[in-house]
Amino acid sequence: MAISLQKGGNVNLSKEAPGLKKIVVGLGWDPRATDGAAFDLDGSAFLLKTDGKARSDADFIFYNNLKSSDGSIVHAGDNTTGGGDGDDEKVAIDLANVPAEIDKIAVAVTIHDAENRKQNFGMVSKAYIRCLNGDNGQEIARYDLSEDGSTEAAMIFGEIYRAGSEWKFKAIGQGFKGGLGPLAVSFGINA
Amino acid sequence: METLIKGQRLALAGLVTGNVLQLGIAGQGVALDYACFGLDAVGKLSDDRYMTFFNQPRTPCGAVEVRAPAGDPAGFHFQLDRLPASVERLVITAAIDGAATLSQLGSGYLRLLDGARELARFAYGGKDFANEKAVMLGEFYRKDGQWRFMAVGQGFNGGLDALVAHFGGEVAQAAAEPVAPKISLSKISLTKPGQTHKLSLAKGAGAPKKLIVKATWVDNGDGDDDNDDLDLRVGILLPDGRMRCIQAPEKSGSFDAMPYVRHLGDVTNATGREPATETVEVNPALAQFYGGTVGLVFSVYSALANGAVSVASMRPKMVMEYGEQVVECAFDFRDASAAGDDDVYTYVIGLARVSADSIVLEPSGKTSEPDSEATPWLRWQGDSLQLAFDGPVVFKGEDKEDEDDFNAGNPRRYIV
Repeated sequence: MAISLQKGGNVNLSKEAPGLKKIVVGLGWDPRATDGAAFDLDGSAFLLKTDGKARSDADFIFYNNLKSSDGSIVHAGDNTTGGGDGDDEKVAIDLANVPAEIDKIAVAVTIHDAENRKQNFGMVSKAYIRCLNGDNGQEIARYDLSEDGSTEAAMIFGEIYRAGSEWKFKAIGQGFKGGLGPLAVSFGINA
Repeated sequence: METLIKGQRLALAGLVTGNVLQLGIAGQGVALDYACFGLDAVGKLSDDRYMTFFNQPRTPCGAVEVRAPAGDPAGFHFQLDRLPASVERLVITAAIDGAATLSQLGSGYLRLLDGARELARFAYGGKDFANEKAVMLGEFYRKDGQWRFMAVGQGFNGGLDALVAHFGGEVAQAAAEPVAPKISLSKISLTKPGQTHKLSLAKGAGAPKKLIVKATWVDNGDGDDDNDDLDLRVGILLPDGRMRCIQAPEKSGSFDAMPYVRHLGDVTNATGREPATETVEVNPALAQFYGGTVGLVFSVYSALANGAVSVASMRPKMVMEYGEQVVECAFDFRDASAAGDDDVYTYVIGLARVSADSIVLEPSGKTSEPDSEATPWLRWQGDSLQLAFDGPVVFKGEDKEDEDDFNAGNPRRYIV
């Protein structure tokens, strides 16, 4: 059963789907039907230590760096318009292979070039970000970006974090001014 | 009082009781028409009675009415609880009638009111827009059984037509005549004089922008490479009986200005492998620009400089395309008396009558008299076209100086 998340909601992934080994974060939206610059949403993930910072730039997984060095995170590629059925961007996370010194993985969604294009999630039709069980494709959690993130152009969707020997997902749903660059810098990336 | 930005949403439940509210709208600098569209669950205007605007100021249920609140130049009154369950969204739109675009808007706003009390305001101006001529300003929509409002501010360069097409509606066509069937790849081929075909000139968003006419001919196989040059010429008969002529390169015309017919250029050679094509683009709004039905005569001409050649041997023909409607005029001149004659210079390959809604095309089998340089000239006979080879001579390049001598006895002249 999928849970629609409000900000701050907390889901224990292992409890929701016991034996969860793999997660897919899916990002979807409808292509722009009106005239004007296309809506280009981008999914990204950050591998973070206990201090909340990345070890190196290689820990920032996004459209220009599709795979983490250990192969635990794989981004399936950049969709620049929202065309196509189903999730338009996917980030697959193999929890068993995440290195021990990585304490959490932050997942974010940003609108490319939002300041210049003067865009926010509210202008995009049916924008969402969700968390799926990577083994059976079942939806675990979803955030309605169009509705609940309407005035934002960048958002930290949530964090997948270690809790003992399990992994948990925390929905954050926090907007971020400035876009992907400043977001990456805040995680210690040289962007 | 909430100040809204594009994309922002808010729930009505916190703002008003009973889902009764008013909308005030203003816009300075451009003349705008406002309309409210009641859409179904798939975002379509499935019931025309739910387009609320000056010509239809009230929905059957009374939920939406055109009525400017006191203090605003335009607006609507809403009683959303009266809407049938089939209406899921109400989109408030503004459209420009005329040549302006929304970038020329001064300032404008849309505000939600509860009587005199302003609940929220969405302000916008020309800098928020580019070439849009129609815009969705805001929208009421149902979510989880509750009404919400979204400030939209997004639209279409194609104006009200594009907006209505987006909602799955159709703008009323002026044509009452039957529409030509849509043809995908098959060509209609007219091979005999007297056969006609009517192409429909659709209007509105999505209509093809150009009527394209191509004349093609092939190498006649005589081994002489220099004599395969034909010129496509177009004669335009105005509603008042005067004529213009178009040919490359000196009189190639224009698509977006008089004469609204443009020749894309002189092609000098067909080869054994490839037919030569000369192309002309006709503006589909031709009849509107000329103030009435226009006649067109398409001919191929073998210039003096070519030397003697039988044009029939090059099998000239024309194809007219308007979007998916394709018609060919392919009269086989080798059957005609002119076939073997090297001194027949002009072959008329097709005639067309262009009105506001349609084009009627017919092939011709007519050719000029041997040795005659006269151009084909059209006259109106009631609604039909009459063709005679008594138009003035038209030369190009260095031969132009001889035109006046050839035309000395001819009262007819092409206008510029």
